[in-house]
Amino acid sequence: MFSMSALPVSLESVLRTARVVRGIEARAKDVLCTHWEELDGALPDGGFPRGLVELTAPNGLGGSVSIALSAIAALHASHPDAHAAWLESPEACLSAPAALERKIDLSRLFVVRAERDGRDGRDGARGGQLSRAAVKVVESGAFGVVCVRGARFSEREARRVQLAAEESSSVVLALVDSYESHAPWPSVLRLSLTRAPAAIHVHVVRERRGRVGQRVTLRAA
Amino acid sequence: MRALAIVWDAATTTSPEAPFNHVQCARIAEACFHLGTTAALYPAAGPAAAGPAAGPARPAAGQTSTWSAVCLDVTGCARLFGKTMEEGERAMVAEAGSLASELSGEPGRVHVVIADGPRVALAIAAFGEGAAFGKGAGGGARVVVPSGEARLAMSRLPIASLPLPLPTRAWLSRLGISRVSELLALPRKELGSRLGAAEKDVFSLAEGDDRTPLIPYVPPATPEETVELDVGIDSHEALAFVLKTLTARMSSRLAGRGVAVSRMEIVLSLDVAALTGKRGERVRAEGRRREDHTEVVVLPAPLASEKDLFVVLRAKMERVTLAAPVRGVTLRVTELSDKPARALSLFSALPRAEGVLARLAGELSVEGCAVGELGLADTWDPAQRSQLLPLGSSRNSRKKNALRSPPRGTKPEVASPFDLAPEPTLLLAENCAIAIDRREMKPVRFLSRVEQLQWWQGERVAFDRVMGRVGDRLACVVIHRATGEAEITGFFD
Repeated sequence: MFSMSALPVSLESVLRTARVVRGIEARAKDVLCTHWEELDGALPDGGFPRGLVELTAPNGLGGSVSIALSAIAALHASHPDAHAAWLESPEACLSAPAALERKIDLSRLFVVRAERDGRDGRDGARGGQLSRAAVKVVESGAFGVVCVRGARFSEREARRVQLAAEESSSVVLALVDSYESHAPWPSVLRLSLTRAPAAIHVHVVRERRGRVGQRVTLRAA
Repeated sequence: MRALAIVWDAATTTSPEAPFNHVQCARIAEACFHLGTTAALYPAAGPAAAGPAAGPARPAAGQTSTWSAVCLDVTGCARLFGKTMEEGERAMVAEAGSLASELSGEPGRVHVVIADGPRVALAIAAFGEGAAFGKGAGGGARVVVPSGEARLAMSRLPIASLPLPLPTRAWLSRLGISRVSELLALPRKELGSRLGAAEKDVFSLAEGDDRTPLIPYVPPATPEETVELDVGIDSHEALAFVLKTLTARMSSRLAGRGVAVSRMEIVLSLDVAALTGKRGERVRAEGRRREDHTEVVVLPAPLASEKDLFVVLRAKMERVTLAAPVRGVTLRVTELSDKPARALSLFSALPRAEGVLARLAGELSVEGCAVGELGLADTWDPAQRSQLLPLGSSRNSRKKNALRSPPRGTKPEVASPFDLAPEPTLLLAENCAIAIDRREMKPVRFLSRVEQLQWWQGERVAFDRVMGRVGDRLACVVIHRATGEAEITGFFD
């Protein structure tokens, strides 16, 4: 007769085998930790999940650039060949000294400057130059982090971005002006940001599993 | 000299026009430059009797040929393609054959031979017969004649493979001599009077002694590929097919040269009869049969592969409105650059970005986006410190700096005063600076004071940079000391 006691293995040893992926490991694999302890602590998964993440702030200036730069710096620190992309409009450009201050390898930061989208994304019509460029960059699958500042994706574009980001396991950070309305995007996470002189207030507004409401104040330079 | 000959029947594969044959020969020669860097061309000059063995130079009048041929000097190159000479030569023949078949469009009609001397190789490629020459079942010959066995290989060829005038060949035929081996069996002294001045040349070739030098083909500085169309095309989908052909041909030529493209032009020849409006009237009044439409493509990062070139050109063409059906397309490379090479690792995969970045940059560039990487400029003007540089600039400058490392004992560079204060994360473009009333700003921190900047420009510039809170934004505000005016030049975000 079959008896469990006859088996010389324990449950823990079975779980340790390479073929069993445990939830705790999957979680660590699917998020990008920024190594900004206060921020990682506030995020539901302990880091940015792979997929489309919205960083909304008044005028798009609530500390979203600092948070995006910290994600890029974490990516660059994680692997010597990891590349990131930064898409922006020519009116307001990322500063190279600020990026260097945050230990970003500029040779691994692909920068695209495209005309800002002028139309309302609510209609689902074909997007502007910045949105189209962002879709192409994300679909290339070559970048671990893609930051898009000022894009107004249509619903279709946002869906394409989300699918491409999940396929290529990349984090797409959309830096959005909270004063501008747009159609709902299928984002995996939405953070609402507010800037103080020496702090950034973060509020988790939306999360795919409903873990919302966390608030944290980050110390900023 | 070990020579590699590529021969194909131009009469069946290409237009009988000599210039076109020359273009095709040049295309194949350039694609094969990685096998041997000295190439000679033998374009077909029309229907006639003698084969390419008539000589290494272009056939003279009366010595025309239906065969097109390219000959490469591959002496000493075999070991680059295989462990042994034989293995390397077989690999070279196979590679040249596949390249030439692809570019000539007739896989079964291309014959490739490596032998001692160009004329021997050309004669065997053009006149070799039977299974020994690999011409069975309609396939092209892929033959390597081992060094020192040229005489044996020549002896099996027909008399037509030798550079003899037609009357002499007819006379030999009447004597029942149809093979080179039979000619060699005849007494040479008696035959010499019949063959005349060509006797020495003919016999040395028949005996496999070929020391003829190649007349080198010099490729053009700006390669171009053209496709002429019998019927005009007016859709972008059809144009994409033409572009595919052009990019395939161009990338083969670039691969042979080992270079990449950084600037190119695409010229569309429009059908004048279908041109409408004032443009059509003007062209017809001038009596022109065609009107060219030229598009210039400047690439932010050099490209060389067929796929990359096609993606960029298709993106460019999708933005072009065709005013009339296109009767011809020319792809012209106007600027070549070094092909970026990278040693591959056996144990680590190539980063995906390395393979995609150049193509993506090219594609976005033709759509009107500015692409590149950020870099620090060597300037005292805080607004100009951040610059968008071409891709790869920082790596190149890092290599240069490594080469120019300061000698021991020298003082380290003085840190910029700007490094002492925080830098705004976002910089507004010059024409986008926001003028504000100073009273609107609540100062948070003084950043720096500039007394004079770029004195050689003659304009006195003095300003203070302040971090201040303007509304709900943390801004970098420049206060001009002469006028007291304030403007936002960036944001701390």
